[in-house]
Amino acid sequence: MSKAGLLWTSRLLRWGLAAVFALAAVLKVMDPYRFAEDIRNYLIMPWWSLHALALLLPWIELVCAAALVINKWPAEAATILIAMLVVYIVVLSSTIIRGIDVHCGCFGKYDTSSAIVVILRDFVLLGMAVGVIVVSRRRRA
Amino acid sequence: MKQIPAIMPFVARILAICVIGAVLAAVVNAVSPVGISWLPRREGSALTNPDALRQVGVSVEQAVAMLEESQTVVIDARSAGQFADGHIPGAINVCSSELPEAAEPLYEVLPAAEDMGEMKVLIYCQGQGCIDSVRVFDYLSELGYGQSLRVLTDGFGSWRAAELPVEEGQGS
Repeated sequence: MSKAGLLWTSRLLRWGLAAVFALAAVLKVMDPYRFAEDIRNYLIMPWWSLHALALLLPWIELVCAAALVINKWPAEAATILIAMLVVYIVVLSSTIIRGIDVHCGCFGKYDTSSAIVVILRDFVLLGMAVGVIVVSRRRRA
Repeated sequence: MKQIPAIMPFVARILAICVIGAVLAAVVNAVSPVGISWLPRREGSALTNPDALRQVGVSVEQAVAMLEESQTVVIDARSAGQFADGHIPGAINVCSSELPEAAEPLYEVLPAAEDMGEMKVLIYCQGQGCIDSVRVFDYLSELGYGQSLRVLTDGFGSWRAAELPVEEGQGS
């Protein structure tokens, strides 16, 4: 791929990923209590961690989104997002296996998608995050 | 072996992103009107202890009986708009996302927690699993009203489905 092609592929992947995570993060920051309840509903995390996770996760997502937009440490930000997405996919899959019908909580109260749809969406985002790392390595090479 | 030192700055930058996120979370949460404590309560909290909510959940039939048999304050934990569209007659609107200010009208009708006696508080929101009731439940539970609280398990939807009386407007 040409240099210009790599540049624009990198930009589109970073900006697209950043937009999705920034929106998700802002909606959760606006209502941490709701997000804490969404986390609780997965019946995985201990009670004492609910508030801390509800406060921390959106802000880490937001910092990652900012890093992707300004192209500062994009591979590191993408790595964190990959780790988060893998956890989300595993946890969501477990809800299907356990037969629990939960509200994803990914976009606050506005996200009413089913677990399957959210998992598919997470795989697309996972692909984009891997793409950010691959493209940023190629551009450095 | 050479790869180990090479990965260290990468890991350090990942940790830096997490630390920046944590610092921002702490600062914003400290000043945010919707801020929450880092460590939730366990006792009497419906958020961290779902059993607490299960124990106080009532069906529509039980709620009707409660309203007939005991002195009950009804709290609609939904937004003002939803409240205006229809609510249980006599309910007080305590919009959960506007706590603690939204709870002020309550203090005119609720005695101190230790003076509640047989008096009950019925909280509801839109439907089963809605969070507004949980929020108001936890708020009042923290003020000491835990023993008097009941939550309409299936929410206002079940009240409507049972074709029970509904009041419209902002209430008195």
